[in-house]
Amino acid sequence: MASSDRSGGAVPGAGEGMPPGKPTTLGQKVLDKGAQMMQSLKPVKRFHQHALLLRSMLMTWLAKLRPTLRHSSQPGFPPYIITDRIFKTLPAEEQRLWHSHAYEIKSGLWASSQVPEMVYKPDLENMVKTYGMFWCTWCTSTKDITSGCVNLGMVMPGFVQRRDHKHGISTPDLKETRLIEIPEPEWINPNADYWKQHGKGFTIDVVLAEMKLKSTISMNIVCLAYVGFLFLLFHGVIGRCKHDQISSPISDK
Amino acid sequence: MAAPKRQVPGVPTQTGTGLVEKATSVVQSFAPINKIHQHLCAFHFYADDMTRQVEAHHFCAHQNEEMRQCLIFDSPAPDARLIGIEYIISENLFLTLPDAEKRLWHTHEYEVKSGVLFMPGAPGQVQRQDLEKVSKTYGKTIHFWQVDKGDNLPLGLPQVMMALTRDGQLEESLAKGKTTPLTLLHFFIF
Repeated sequence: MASSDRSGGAVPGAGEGMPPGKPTTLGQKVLDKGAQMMQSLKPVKRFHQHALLLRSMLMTWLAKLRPTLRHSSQPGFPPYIITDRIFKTLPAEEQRLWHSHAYEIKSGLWASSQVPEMVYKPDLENMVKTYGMFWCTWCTSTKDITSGCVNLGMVMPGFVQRRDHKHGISTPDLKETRLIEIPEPEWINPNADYWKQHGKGFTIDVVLAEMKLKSTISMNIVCLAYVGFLFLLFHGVIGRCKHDQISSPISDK
Repeated sequence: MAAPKRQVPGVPTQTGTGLVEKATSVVQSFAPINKIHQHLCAFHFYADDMTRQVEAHHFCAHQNEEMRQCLIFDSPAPDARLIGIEYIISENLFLTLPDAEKRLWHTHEYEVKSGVLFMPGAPGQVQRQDLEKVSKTYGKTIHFWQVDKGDNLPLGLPQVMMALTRDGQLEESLAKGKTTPLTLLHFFIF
């Protein structure tokens, strides 16, 4: 793992390829169906595209908020995808967390499941100029429950043949056509793919920190003190006005 | 406190793009998405700052009887922003975790019993039965998009989030849309 966190590792019951736990009961399935029939689930219904990405055999389903911003639905690897135009607006320190897609697409590593290449090609011409950021929250390569911290995800080698066999595609063939048919982006922002320029990656850690609490007791004390101050101020002003009126040389007699 | 929703930057979807989306959505398998069967609504706060609270709409799928995984959006609308994820596990599974891992998880008992966590639109009987199970589970939540700061893109680092555990923690303005106690006092005095 890239993270310095060492709390991961398989928990009992893991190792069968699925998270540990009892199989879903019939009763639960009935409850799920009942909820699904009555609830709208609108944000989830926007997911429209299934892309196969070789980041530890990641499969990701994409939904588009705008053509300039997509988000993914793969719990464990939630990525975001933005156009180069939006990427340029990010501060440099934010850009370092993002990666380019040009190589993945041109090399055939980025593939679409079950969709003919000619249908997918217009979208690839847009995607080749985009930048992505994704976070690994579940190290499925260790077959454990989601544990440990979060890792910034990058492309991992070594899965091409397995992926191709499973999905009936040929990455070398995709590469051959895309080298000719998908134009290379004119420029890839050097702030992306940080590790390429600097030879170093990122880890993030969870550390203990002082927590800012919401305290109703302290808030009430502050409110009461403030009210008291205003009360005294108000009465002080009124009292002064009355005193000035009494001691005035002008008489009503 | 909830920040006003800002527009996601970018141009609207064009016709050609929409056609590709239609084609892919018809022929491709969406099995993991189609497993999502449940919408839960609750609130999260940042693990180091309880004053920053976010409305969280969870869309969840069962991996098995003891584990669910949820996508978290900032609203139930079609243009909702994907702001995080949550994993939910049974107490049995939680007890198997190393202590260092347990610290990243939160309970659901208070949220369910107080009514803060509920299932919008679901029949009462379905809610009661399923939330009774949820009340005994533990969650691990990570947010990627700090919408409460007004970010219109997912910027910065992932944030571990926590959930409410007792009365008095929830920002009243978030729950009911009322003014804060201090502004009410101002109104009363002046």
